[in-house]
Order: sequence, then structure tokens, then C-alpha cells
Amino acid sequence: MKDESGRIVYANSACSRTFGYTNDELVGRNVSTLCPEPHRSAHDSYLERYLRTREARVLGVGRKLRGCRKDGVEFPMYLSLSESVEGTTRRFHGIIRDLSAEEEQRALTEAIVDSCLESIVAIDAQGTMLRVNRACCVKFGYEAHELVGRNVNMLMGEPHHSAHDSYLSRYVATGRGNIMGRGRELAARRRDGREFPIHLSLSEARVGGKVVFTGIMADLSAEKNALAQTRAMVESALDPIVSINEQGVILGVNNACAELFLYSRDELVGHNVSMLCPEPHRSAHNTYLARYAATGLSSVIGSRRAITALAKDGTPRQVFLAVSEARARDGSRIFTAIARDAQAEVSLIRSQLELEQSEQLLLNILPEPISRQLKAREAGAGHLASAFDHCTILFADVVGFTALSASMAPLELVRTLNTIFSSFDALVDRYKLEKIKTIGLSWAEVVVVVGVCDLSFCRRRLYGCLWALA
Amino acid sequence: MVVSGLSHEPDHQVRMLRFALDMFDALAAYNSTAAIPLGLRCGVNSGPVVAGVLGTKKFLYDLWGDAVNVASRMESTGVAGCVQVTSTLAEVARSFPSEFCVLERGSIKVKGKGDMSVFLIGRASGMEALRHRVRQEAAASVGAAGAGAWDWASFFAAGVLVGAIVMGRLTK
Repeated sequence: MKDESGRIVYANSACSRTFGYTNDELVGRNVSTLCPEPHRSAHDSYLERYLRTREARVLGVGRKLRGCRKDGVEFPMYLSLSESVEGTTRRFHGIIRDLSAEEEQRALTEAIVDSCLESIVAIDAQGTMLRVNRACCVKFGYEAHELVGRNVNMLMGEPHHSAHDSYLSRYVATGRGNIMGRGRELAARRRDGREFPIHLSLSEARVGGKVVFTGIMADLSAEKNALAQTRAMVESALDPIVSINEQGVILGVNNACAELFLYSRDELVGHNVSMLCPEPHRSAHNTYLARYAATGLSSVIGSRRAITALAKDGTPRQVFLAVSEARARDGSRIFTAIARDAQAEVSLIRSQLELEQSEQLLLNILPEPISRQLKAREAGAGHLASAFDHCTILFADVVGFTALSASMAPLELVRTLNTIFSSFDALVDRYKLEKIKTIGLSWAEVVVVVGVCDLSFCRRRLYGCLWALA
Repeated sequence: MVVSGLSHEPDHQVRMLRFALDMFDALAAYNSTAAIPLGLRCGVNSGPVVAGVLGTKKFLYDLWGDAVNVASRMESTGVAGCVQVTSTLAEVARSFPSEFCVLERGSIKVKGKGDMSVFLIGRASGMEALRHRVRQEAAASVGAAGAGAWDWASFFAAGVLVGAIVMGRLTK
């Protein structure tokens, strides 16, 4: 309460508390002390103007403004001002409500909404956006002011983009909606036109007598991507994969599975997996599953074993079966079996082995760089030779071979020679030399030498052979 | 037939000489237990070669070149129990006197090359053994030449015999 000069005549204890003064300090003080700048300096002129013109600005209206505590801290408050005249005494009565708590509450709500990682949009009954949070702006690529005031359907992919207004009006008219309170997956659209999957949950509130719908949109891109990747992985696997539930019903199969067993996907999914088992397992498979559920004991799960499965045409399929167990979200068991086609596996290993053997053989006959060049060159290409500026060549001949061959059985002779030449080969390896050929042990090699070496040498060798024959 | 230097290693010559002498050791190890001992004759030469594979079937990696022919000739005209080399290799061996001894043997005829000086290589301490081998070989070749003469004589005699028989038939 103050008089015409602006001095405080009376203040209650709540007022003193709010402003941090004692009652005595307040009474007699100019009320402008309680106002922050610029009102502090101007307050006297406000009062003077009112008294002069009687033009009320605050009086009888009430207004939100800021107060200033004794310690200088400002705070939000609501001021309602009234006037009383008793005789010649004019007094003004101000009732002050401290709004600090409300403002804090409001700021907290703002902070929660804005710091939420999911996009949040509030709309009115016409679909106009009233408020969007920061995550929504970031996710969709807009600034908040570009969204607020516009129709929310700009954030939706088709068909909802076009139909949203009708959904809203129908809901407002009938009170029946498909999403309200339930949530659903749909496509949202970014500013750049790209769409992404979201889960939308929608709620309804009344604010000041108006309906406000709040939508929370969870981005499902990451989950969908992970799902697509897993699916791609399973689908691209060369090994058949089949997953079943606790009852043995096939939940899913990959392409390789359908191919190996000659069924279509639809013929498998939803049916009991025992259709792939031959008797007696076909009849017993459900018992196996039940026993496992009851005892947790299984000879299949967690190990790899060779079994026979049955294709659609009744022909057997030898497979290596590996079964693993996982829990679904609802806690039920899912069994996943990977059945590697044993036949294909064996033939693969065999051909691999053959390839390795022939490679090894080739390396035995030809130096490695040459065998590489031979494999690389096209069939029918010309000669494969390279010149070397300086090499050292050694020829060696076993002397006394004729006498030895006369005294030994052929097999024993070969064994003896093999021993000697193996020890020479070991020396070749030790000195990192290249053995070109063994001459003098077979007629064919002697003939080869005729082609490449000087003739007198070969003639003599040929005579040696003839003598041996004789 | 063995070659070194295809990977352009700089010590291919001396490496081959060491290999050759080691072969004799390996054979000696075999002979120490064998009923019928075997001998070995080596020839070594170095020079440019062409190495590769001809044709498209039954691949055989082979070497061609004058140096190869000469190496073969070193072996065929060599001495049992010895490594016979050209002057190039003899020079190499001489530069490792702690490892090798070199004995000049004389000259031989090589087709397309004329006379070539040839040398025998042994271990550093083996000079006496080399001389002994050469003497043995000389003695054996005289015998072989004798045998060869006998061959021609028997061939001639057989020819005369056959001729006589044929003549006898014809004149009958």
C-alpha cells in the first residue's frame, strides 16, 4: 500500500518476505525500490502522469512484470493494482504474486521436451503445429519457426500426407481414430524429401478448452537397417538356414534352404519342420522338442552333426546340421538350424585338394615363376622363355651305373638311385639351385638330350645304352 | 643338369662349385655302405643361357645356349670323381684358395669352339687326389681305346664271316 508520493504505507509480512526486507525497512520507502530498471527510475513519473491525466495503465488491469529483491535478484511476479480514496487521502493497493515457482516449472517442462531425443510435435484440431521440440527440427531438417503455424502433414510421407486432414476431422467429429493411444509405424518425410520409418505415438490433451494432440515420433531407421542387414546376411548365406519355434513350426527359411529341399518358401513357413525329417525322426521330432523344453537336454543343440534330411521329392539330403537356441522378446525359444550340404562340401574339399595337388606337381616340374606364367598365359600362345646374362650350369653323370644295373633287380636299382638322387636334391635345395632334369636314368631323357646337347656326347650315351641292352 | 643364377644371385658360380664337391661327399656316404660303389663325373661352365618351356604339352623346363653345351662337354670329357670346368670357373675357384684347388688338365676339342683349356677342381687339400684320378683315367682310356679297337676288329671279323657265308651260299 502506498500513497500518492509513492512511499510505502503498509506492507504485509508475505510482501516483506518476498522482497527480502523487514517490515520496518519497507514502510516509508519509495515503492520504486522494489522495481528493477527501467521502471525504478521511471516509477515516479508513471505516478505523476496518472495523477495528472487519470489515464490508468496498470490500475485495475493486472500485469506480469519483474520485481527486485533486496539482494538485487530479479524475479517474475504478477501485480494487480487498485486505488482507494478516503477523504483527501488517495492510496494505491498492490497485490503481488511471486511467479518464480511457475516459471521454473515451465522452464523444466521446456527443457524436458527439448532435450528429448525423440521428435515431439503438438498440433491443434486443424493439424497446425503449435510446438515442435529440438529433436524434431534436427531430424526433419527444419528450423522451429519454419514448422510452427504450418500443417503437420508436411512431415509425412504418402499416403498420410494427403489424408491426414481427413483423419483429423474424422477423429474430431466422431472421436474414433486408428492411432490414438495405440501408436503405429509409418513413413516420415524430411525437408529434402527423403522418407524414413518412424513409430508414432499420439496422445490427446485439452489446454484452455482446446484440443491439443501430441505426437512422439521414434526414428526406426537404425532398427530397420539392422533388420535389413540381418535379413540380407541370412538370405545371402550359401548354407540353408531354418528357424522354428518351440512347437517346431517353421518361422522362416532362407533361399538356400528352399533350394536344397526343393520347396517354395510358402510351403515351408508355418509348417512343422518335421516335414524335412525322414522317419523315425519325422514322427518323433515333436517329442524331441517337448523333451528339450522339459529337461533342457539335447544331443543336437550346440553341436554339429551329420544327418539325413528329406527333400520335397523324397530324396535324401546329407547335411551337417548345427542348431542354436535364442530367446524371442516374449521369452519363448527360437531354434535356428544351419544345414550345410554335405555332398557339396565334400566335392568342394575334394576339388580343392586336387587343385592343390596339381599345383604342387606343377611346382615340382617347373620353377615357380614359370608355372605362374604358364597358368596365366592363354592356350596356344607362343614359347615361354627368358634370357639370363650369366648362369652356371652343371652336368653330372653317375659312373659305374652299368655294372650296378647288371647286379641288381630293376626295382632295387631304382630304389638305390632314388636314394642317391634324393641326397643330391637336398643339396640343390641347400644351395638354392634349380634342378633342370635328371639325365641318364631313362632312355627318353637321353633322347631329349639329343635334341639340345651336342651330338658327340649323345652318341656316346646312346652307345652306352645299347651296350646295356646287349 | 643343375643351374644357378636364375634368380640373379651374384655368387652363383662359387655356389655351384661347392654343390659339386658336396655331391661327391654325398655319393661317398652312399658308397661306404654299398656293395657296388658308384662314381660321379661333373662338368661346370657359366655364361648366358635362355631358360623356358617349349610347346603346350608335357612341359619341361629346359636351358639352351652355348654355355649349356660347353658345360655338358665338360662333364662328358671329364674324369670320374672330379669336377671339370672351363677357365672361367677355374678363375673363380682360384679366388677361393682356402676352399678349392685347381689342376690344369690340358685342352679338349669342343664342337663349334675349337680347343678349350679345361681344369679340374677339388677341395683345397685334394690336389694329390686329383693328380691320382687323372693318372687313373689316362690308364683306363688306353684300355677303352683298346676295347674300341677290339670292337672294330670283331665287327670286321663278323662282316667277313657274314660275307663268307653269303658268298658261300651264292656260289653254291
